[in-house]
Amino acid sequence: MTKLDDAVTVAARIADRFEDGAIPYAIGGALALAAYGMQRMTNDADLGVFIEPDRLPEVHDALERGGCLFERDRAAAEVERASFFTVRCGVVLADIFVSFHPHHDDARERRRKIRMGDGVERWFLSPEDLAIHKLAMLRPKDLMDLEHLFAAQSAGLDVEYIRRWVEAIAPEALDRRRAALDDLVARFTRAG
Amino acid sequence: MDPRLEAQLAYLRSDERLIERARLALELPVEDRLALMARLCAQAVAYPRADHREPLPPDAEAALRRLGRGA
Repeated sequence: MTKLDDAVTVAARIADRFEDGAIPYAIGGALALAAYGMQRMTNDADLGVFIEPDRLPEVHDALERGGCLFERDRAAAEVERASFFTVRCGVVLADIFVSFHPHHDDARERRRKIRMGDGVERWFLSPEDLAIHKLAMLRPKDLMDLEHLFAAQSAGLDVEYIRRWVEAIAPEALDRRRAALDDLVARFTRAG
Repeated sequence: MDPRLEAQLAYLRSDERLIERARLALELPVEDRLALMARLCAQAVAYPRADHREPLPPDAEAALRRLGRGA
């Protein structure tokens, strides 16, 4: 039996159950960051699902089949309130992001299939969508992750796509998200 | 400070070092990077979990809502 004591194994298990249930998904967070260049420790797995609201029970079913522990009613309320809910799988917590927004259509379209350590290909957020999420939150650790992402991907990033969404989520010209993106582009991309 | 130490410190904090680290990481195939990540993560869960999430900055909530997410 697989030991569920690391975020990579847990993300893979949940992703496989989503695949079984034909639920479009993408692995994000630190695991996506590792896929695009830089590994770092994490206790948590992040996965986004791209669904219509009426498919939320199917997401719950898939997670239960994967052995995740959570309360359905509370999870549904959390999605309503904050667009994500947390489940426990072994010793790892997984955040499941569910939102119904034009950015999700773009993120689903751009996600990438990446081969993991067990030889199975699974869906990951694109580096650009990972950057958009990190820029939205912009905590000190997000800024550090962004530096690692830009250092690894440099000129390969679609900066104009990132900029379009950053301008949508940060409409004010002086928002620090716009300044952070400009700074990253100047430091790590030759085009900057 | 000793100029050699100062130079070393400047290098450790530099973008140049970040880019070099990234180049070394990318020399590994992605499946190996993720396998290595699994080992790092297994070590991480051996430590006590923080009893709180890192708080979001005050201006993150509006940005996340515009991205379709609550905070």
